[in-house]
Amino acid sequence: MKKTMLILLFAVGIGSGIAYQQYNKTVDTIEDEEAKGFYTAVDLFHQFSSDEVGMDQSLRGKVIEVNGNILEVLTNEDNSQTLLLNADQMIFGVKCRLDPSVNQLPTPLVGETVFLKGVVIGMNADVELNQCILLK
Amino acid sequence: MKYLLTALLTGITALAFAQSKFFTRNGTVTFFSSAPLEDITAKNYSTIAVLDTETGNIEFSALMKSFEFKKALMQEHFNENYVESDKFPKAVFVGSVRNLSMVDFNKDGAYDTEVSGEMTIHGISQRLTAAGQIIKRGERISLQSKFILKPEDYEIKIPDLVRDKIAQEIEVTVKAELEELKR
Repeated sequence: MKKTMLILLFAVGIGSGIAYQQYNKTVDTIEDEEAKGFYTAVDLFHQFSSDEVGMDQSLRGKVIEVNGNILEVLTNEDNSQTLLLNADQMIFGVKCRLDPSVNQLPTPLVGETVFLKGVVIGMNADVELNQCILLK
Repeated sequence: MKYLLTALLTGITALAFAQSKFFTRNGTVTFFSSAPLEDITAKNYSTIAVLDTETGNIEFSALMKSFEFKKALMQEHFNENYVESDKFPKAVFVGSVRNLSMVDFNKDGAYDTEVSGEMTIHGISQRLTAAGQIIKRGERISLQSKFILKPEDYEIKIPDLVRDKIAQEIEVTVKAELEELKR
């Protein structure tokens, strides 16, 4: 009886520990995730513009690699940075928020070409990527 | 009301926008929920905002999946169970500054304003009026506002199991620094 109680207590303890760990787990970075596809910023924007629903269904939440020319470097409220990549549009482009929890390469300058990977969020005038990591 | 973002997307020339349209693509919207068990904060750093200083029309648009939580599980529940981000990907506010005549966009200063319009979240639109501030500083215009939203007004169902973890009212803070639209 005593042995059963001990096993039960042990199991409850382990279970609670796992549940606590899962509950408090922070959002993972995508450093170790492999990209599901590669796009130029121009192609990515063009494909979202032509078929937003289809692109949402196939890419939303997925990690992709993108390359493009930097139009703007924006500093966000938390001092993180967002790169706007040229998509050959008048106002909008591909917007990539760099993951502030990752040790990034030095921030590139406007006009430079970058390669990065990030999680596709969707299209809100710009095509948005989050948790981005500069590759080169 | 003419949707400013739609107008931008339909490709009216940059010249037509000069001088009166101010814009940002990295405004911040913060959700804060205070409940006895836990405070929950989520931030969106990619909110688009457009202000027409001539008409006072104002528009905000944010993708729900851009809201960042500290805890992965909260972020997952927010997107999948509460706001159903795949089905309703955007939150949009379309409105206007009610006391526009009180704001002098040619003079630096902080102006108390009231914005009124329609907020759409989770596919449900509700009238919303909120106090805020327009701050003119040099070439930039900052917008700030804080208001309360009730998830139930937008038919966002909170399961009984976590009801005590999430407040019935969510405090929303908006901060955006706009620049004249030149491109």
